[in-house]
Amino acid sequence: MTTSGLLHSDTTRTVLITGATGFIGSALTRRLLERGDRVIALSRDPARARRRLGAAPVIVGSLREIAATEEIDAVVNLAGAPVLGHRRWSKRRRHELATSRIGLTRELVAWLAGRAQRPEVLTSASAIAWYGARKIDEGGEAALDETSPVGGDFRAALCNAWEREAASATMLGIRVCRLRMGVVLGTEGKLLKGVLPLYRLGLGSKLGSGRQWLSWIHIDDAVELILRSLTDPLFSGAINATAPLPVRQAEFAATLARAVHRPVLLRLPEAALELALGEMSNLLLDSQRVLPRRAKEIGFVFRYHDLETALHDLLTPPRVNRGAHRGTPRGATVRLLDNLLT
Amino acid sequence: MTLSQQPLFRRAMGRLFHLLPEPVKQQHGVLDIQLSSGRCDIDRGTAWNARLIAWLFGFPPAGRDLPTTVTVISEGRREIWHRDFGGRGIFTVLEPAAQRDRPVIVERFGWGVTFDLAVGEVEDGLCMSVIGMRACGVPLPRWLWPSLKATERAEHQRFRFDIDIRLGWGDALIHYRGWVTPPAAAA
Repeated sequence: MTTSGLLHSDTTRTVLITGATGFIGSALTRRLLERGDRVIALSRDPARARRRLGAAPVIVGSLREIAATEEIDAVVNLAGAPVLGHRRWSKRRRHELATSRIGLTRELVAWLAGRAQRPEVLTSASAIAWYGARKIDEGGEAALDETSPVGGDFRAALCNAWEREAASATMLGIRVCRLRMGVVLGTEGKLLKGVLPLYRLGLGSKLGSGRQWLSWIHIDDAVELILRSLTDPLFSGAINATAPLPVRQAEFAATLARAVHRPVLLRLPEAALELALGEMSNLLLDSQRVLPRRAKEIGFVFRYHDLETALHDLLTPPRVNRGAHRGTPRGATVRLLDNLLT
Repeated sequence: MTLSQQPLFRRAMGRLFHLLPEPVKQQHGVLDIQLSSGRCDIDRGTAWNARLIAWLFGFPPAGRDLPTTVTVISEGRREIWHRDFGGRGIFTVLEPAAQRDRPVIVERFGWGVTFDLAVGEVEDGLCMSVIGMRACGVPLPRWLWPSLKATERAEHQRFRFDIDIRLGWGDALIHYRGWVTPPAAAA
């Protein structure tokens, strides 16, 4: 069994990323650059991408800007309009979600088909929404893995069509890995960014019954899965990107509240959430207990198995740099505090 | 596959659906979400009433060789169709009609206007004609119904469409014709 993170190529790789300015994309870009890989970031807004990603990656506004002679070893497809942030999924919104994911992936695969040199792998993001949404009392207790069937709602349909588009790249001789992302936890991610201020004010709450399952993954493990998929041929087909131990929402609330040293006093009834958030409330009330069966089968070791460890890592302030401010009164105070606290 | 899991046109047409050529079946056989791309020519009626109605319903302007994308989102009983002609899109919602003795689809536009469309066969495809019209659920008299000549055919791997809509008294409203390639056909 290999250990997470050790199966890397020894040579510098060139990786094309779509959606590089997003939460996962920017974390992935940083890791690739730290490893010495070369990153080409495709972005609709190159100026914004430059501000967000810095000077190191090559940033292009369209695939046409990439020279035919550019050798690309791997492609990571993360782009798509955000699912969160809209109260109601109107026809227009559904269409936008569909075209931003399916249309772009199709364009990407068509571009790869036209190239003489093709990458070894296409890792394309999907989501655990593929399995369909269900309420806890309507099948929401069922454990879902890669052998489970596709769901029947709009988000499942979107993910299925998205994955089908990415999978068409296998006809080009490209290995395709479809990572079904759970709720990715990171301080820059939408979930923690959205709820942390509330929890710090003691306003963390149980949502509905609190029994609905939340399938999460630490951002570092999500990035590590992507990195591993770029070099490990066993990473092929659909793979759930979720931590081994999903939790119920009530446990999530309690664990997060403990992590910020606050109580959970509130409970928001289902009806209130539906009134306030409309269709978006389904994202908070639906239950998905998704297990990473395939990832474990092919030897991926999660660094963050359980939520408590994951949140502790994300919410603990970084250790003080012992080298900073050396020789100054401030530096001496910092070193003293650091020694006392560790 | 149960009846409710079948694509809309398959449910409406029954065994006749299986006789359709592949590109037509693929364009109307969507179970989740499908994007098909192609090209299209559009002519628009010039009478003031035709222009007013076209504006109310958001019909695209006239043009030649326009890039065209048709997005179909299947949602159980109904389908959401988005037709984008050169950057101008129009949504309609298609649903099965209540029990009929022949295949009928209900197409809903904006402003609460719906049309009952009888679906028939033609060589290499299907055709549609208006057999009813309602505004906010209220049936409208026949003289208000538009005249529709719609054919959808297979041409090699392409889904070719020719949709000619005229106002009840004969003035041209919109005529769009072109093709898209369903993804399965393109593979």
